[in-house]
Amino acid sequence: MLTIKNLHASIEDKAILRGLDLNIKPGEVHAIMGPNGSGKSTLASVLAGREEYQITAGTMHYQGTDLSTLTPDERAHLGLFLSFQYPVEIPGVSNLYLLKSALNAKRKQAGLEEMDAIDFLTIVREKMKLLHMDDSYLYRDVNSGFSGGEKKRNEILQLLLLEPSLCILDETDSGLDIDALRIVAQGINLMRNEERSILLITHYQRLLDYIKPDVVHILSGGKIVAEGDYRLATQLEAEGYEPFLQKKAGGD
Amino acid sequence: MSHDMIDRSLFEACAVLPGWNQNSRLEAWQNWQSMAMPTIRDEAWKYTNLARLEKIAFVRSPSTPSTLTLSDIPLTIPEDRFCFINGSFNPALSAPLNEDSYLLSQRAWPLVPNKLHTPRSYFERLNAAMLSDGLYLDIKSSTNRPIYLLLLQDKTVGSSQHHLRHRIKVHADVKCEIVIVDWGLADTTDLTTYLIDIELEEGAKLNCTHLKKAAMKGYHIRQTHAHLAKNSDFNHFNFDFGAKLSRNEISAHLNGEHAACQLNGLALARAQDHIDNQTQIIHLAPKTNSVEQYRGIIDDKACHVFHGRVLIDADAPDSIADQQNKNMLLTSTGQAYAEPQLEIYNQNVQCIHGATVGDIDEEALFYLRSRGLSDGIARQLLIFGFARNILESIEDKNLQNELALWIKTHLALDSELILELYEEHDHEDTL
Repeated sequence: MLTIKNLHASIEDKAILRGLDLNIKPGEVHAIMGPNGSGKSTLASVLAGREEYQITAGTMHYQGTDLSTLTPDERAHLGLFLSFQYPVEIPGVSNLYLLKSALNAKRKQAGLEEMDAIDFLTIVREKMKLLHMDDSYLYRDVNSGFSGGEKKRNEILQLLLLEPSLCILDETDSGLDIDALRIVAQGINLMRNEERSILLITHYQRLLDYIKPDVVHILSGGKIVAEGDYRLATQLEAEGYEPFLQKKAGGD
Repeated sequence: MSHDMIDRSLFEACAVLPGWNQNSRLEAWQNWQSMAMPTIRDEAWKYTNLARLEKIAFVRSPSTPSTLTLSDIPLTIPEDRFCFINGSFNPALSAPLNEDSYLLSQRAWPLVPNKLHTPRSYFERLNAAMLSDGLYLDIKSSTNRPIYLLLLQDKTVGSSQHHLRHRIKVHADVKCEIVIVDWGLADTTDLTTYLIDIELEEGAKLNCTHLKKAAMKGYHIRQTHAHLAKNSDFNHFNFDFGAKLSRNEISAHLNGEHAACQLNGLALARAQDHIDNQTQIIHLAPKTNSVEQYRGIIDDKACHVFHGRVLIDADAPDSIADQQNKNMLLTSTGQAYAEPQLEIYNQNVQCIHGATVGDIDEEALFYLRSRGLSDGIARQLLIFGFARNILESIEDKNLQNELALWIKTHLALDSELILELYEEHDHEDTL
């Protein structure tokens, strides 16, 4: 369970998050929506442990552990996964190597034996099939020369393989055409279960047509200004952010 | 002009080689004497300071035989090899010499010294004056087995100096591979100058990999000049593992139509190493093609200089040139100078170039760590990945693997990690 209380975070002395509260229980899917500059991606970065951000007040705990004391890799071992808005290109390192070492790093942490190459290939190919990805993805350098859609699919492949308990998806729908969006959404839906928490960060409602969230939050000025069920997203799509931004309601 | 570093007695002690009369040698000596040592005010030596070199009083190469063996070099070296130690040919460690491979000291050497390349620069003239020996390789038929040329420097007493000049000729339509290994064990301040002339006849193909692991305190200056006839293909890979001063001047002259060259290099500089790569690609005929990729990984207080000149002559329409230079600085005290220089005298050509100097990509580092890799492993992966792109351009997979291990050792990377990167690569081949 993720518990964020009164979180304040800044970058280069500029305050972005200003008192954010959020609780996500196991098995829940939450969506965070908000206009540009509201702090959506900052929240994702702070959770994953990007070092440029400073936490100036508040707390964030996952499964009872204070996340702020952990390095990005320790957070990953705890079960947290961030699907990047802009997945990074890594020349000279193949996708296969990244996937295998990420999986084995996690297994090692869990006290499991490293997976051998054959077992690994069987599993990764199974997951790739679900995402309509062919074998060539494995041998290409990580995200190098991938199209926007290919990069996002590659993020979801990592997600399916690593089976994190908390998935943070930062603007996963951006850059995807309708077909790719459907495939990616199917992948995410496959991950839904009673234990796993999912946080969808999105600007538009269209991803939520495919992945129905339990709770929708509206983020503005670095804090939650409105909350509701999936219908809030529909309302938002019809009316725009303006009516919500007028309200001074803090998240409760 | 007087040069204290090489005393006249050293010159006079040089053996008279066939094909040279003492007068031409004396002329070379005098030519060299008349030149001033380049300084940082010279454009070509702007970033490489030789001032300390002039203060060293060099001695003769030792006459006692070296006890170096091939096991001193961590590399699998095949039977097809020729070995020089401290500037002298070592028959015990070499394949038999014959009509197609002979020494400068054995017989009159045709086309030496002036046919292909006239010594003009300071170190070329020094080399011409002080030359002790060299190998002529006349390659008349294709072979899958690489030929190794080992240029070893054993430990000596005092600062010794070695000067060699080799010539490689690849006959028409012949395809071959040569691996040149410069390996230095000396812990003294040595000076070596090597001059290598390469000639490719029509349709010839040469893959030439040059590994240099010079002595830590050594001054190592090497010139490689390649001349390419029509339809010939020259692939040169320059791996430099650093020295006090390592300078590599490489030129490729694309003289015939459809001649193509690939000049790739990787400089791994650490401690106070200084690696200076000066390349020239001269397109002189239509439809010639050049690809150049040089990278530097710079640690500690080391420095990498890359100066890459590409000239496309007015007589070389429809030519293509692509030059890339990238440098990765691992510390804030390392230095990299990247200088591309393009001279294009024909409008109908394609020319691309790019040069970058940067730290390890923090965003990539964060990405890998967010996938559960430790900071250390993620950094190693990024450093090795950066080198790997150059390694992969080598066709010889065995050599690629050996080089990967050299790089691993040199950069103190996790060996399992590197091996695994290659395992997976082999896997790809079998799919």
